Amino acid sequence: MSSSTTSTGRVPVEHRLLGLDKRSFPPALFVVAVFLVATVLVPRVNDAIAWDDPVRAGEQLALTDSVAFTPATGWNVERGFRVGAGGSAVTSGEATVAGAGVTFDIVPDTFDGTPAELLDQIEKVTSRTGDPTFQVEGDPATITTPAGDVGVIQTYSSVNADGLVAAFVIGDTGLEITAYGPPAQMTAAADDIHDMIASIRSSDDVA
Amino acid sequence: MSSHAVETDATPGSEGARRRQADALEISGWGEPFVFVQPHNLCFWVYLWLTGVGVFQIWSFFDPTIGFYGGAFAVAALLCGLCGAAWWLWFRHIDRWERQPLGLVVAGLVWGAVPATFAFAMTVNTAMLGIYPKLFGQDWSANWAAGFIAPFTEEAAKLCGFILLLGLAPRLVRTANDGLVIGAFIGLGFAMFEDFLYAAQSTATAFGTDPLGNAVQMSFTRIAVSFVSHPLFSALVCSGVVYLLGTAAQPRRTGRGIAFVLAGMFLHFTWDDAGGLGGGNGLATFGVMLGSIVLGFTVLSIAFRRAAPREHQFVRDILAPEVQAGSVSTDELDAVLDRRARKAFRKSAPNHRARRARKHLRRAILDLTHDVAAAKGADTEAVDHGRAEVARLRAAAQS
Repeated sequence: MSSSTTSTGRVPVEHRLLGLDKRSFPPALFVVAVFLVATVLVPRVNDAIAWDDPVRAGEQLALTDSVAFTPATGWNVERGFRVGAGGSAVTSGEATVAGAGVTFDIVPDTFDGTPAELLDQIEKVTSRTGDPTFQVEGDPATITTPAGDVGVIQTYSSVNADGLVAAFVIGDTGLEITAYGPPAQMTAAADDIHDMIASIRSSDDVA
Repeated sequence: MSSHAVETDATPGSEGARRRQADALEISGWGEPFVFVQPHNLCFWVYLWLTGVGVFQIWSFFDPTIGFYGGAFAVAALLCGLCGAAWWLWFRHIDRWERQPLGLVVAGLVWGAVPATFAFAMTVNTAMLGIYPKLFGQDWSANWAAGFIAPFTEEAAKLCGFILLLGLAPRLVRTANDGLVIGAFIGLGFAMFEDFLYAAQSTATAFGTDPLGNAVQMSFTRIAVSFVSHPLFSALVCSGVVYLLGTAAQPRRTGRGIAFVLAGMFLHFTWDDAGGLGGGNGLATFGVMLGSIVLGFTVLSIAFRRAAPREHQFVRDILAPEVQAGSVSTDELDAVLDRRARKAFRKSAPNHRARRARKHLRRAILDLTHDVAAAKGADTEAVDHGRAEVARLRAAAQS
């Protein structure tokens, strides 16, 4: 017998509504209200606020203490740390910029191997974890930055989006670069994407 | 939830002692069983619904990766589970007054582990982590977002479980001490699953080249700092809410309630934003964490001390007929409840064996209190056994 019922198991009539004990409503409805605010209202507020953090000419994003790249001017920084901005306990890491309907993302992490091996690893992990439909197409092509770093690049398709994936290994840091968006936008943004990949450089005094 | 003062009849004589006991049992809810399945109670259905949402979210979250990282997940689950089990044993040990029924603490633990983590926190935290950088920029978010999200979203998520348990067991969850203990168990469930989640997510670091190594490393890192964690924050917040609401056994104390709720949230903030408060300096960050630990345990011990007198009074009232009948002496009862009297009682033992027996006598008297409460003051076999145990240990304590 619960504490809200009589010895017969019934809720006293003055507290009964559709067989439920009305005295249990305030705590239960409070929890439902908190749940709706947390999982419906707050995500909607997030969706309603647009990104407004455009890249200005000359700005770079720090991927590690010594590796940075130059995002396309005017694209929005959705994640990432500007070189030399200061004021943050974290000064480098994953970078995501979005513009012209395309999302461009670089994930830096430790990696011991060649760019081709990194690309294989990315394909293996992505297709077997996040997105089973992820599939690279054709053979990888070599891409060389003006700074002399050599990477591999390949197009991919998945149900989520089509795009391209590139891999670099600079020192003991691997870089997974993805760019994706609708085909027309990808074509229009091809130069920006190429420029951003080509801008990746390593130096000891970036951060 | 009223704000009645606790009043018990102190009339001398056997009838007075019985009345004191009956009043204390009525007000405190000691000895009440916990019934989880309550189809008439809306809190029961909301608990089930949100736990179902949490289970679905867990399945959605882990299903795509479990095949690839299954081994690392299993090791992380084992390590985080063992850590949780150690904390569980300690929390059960310190739950010495009205021992919370097993079903109640399991319901608290499950709430913290499943709905609070996966139905509430994961969704709202992700949204907040989107809002802050948009409003205040990436650098501000890197420093402060965690500390300006979790103390609100996660504490609210865990508190919701406590509110539902209040609705499910209003006679059991009544004192500030109940808030401390049940809050700790809700927090423990949350911490275990959060630690596991961190370990599971770490499998993807270094491009998934060493999932097992990263999961083990992250599990140990989380375990190492687990002593200032969700159990501590939730214990303070839930205890504060009992003071804020006021119950039949705990008169409303608004100021104290707000202070404990804010203390729990503030510690959550300093712990999560230790990096930002330390200004990126490793030593300063360590100092902030150390300060949080000291502050956390100081506030917690204050909270336990403030909650104890009410529990002590219940023990005195429940055992009043036993004291009158001579089953338990006033000195022995003082030694159970008062720290100074306990030390003096133990020190005055003639030898080491007697000292140990006096320590055990304390536990035996508490056991007798629980037996008397469970029997609602009647003479049952368990109560007779409890009395016999007290007599046996008393004899050993005096020899």
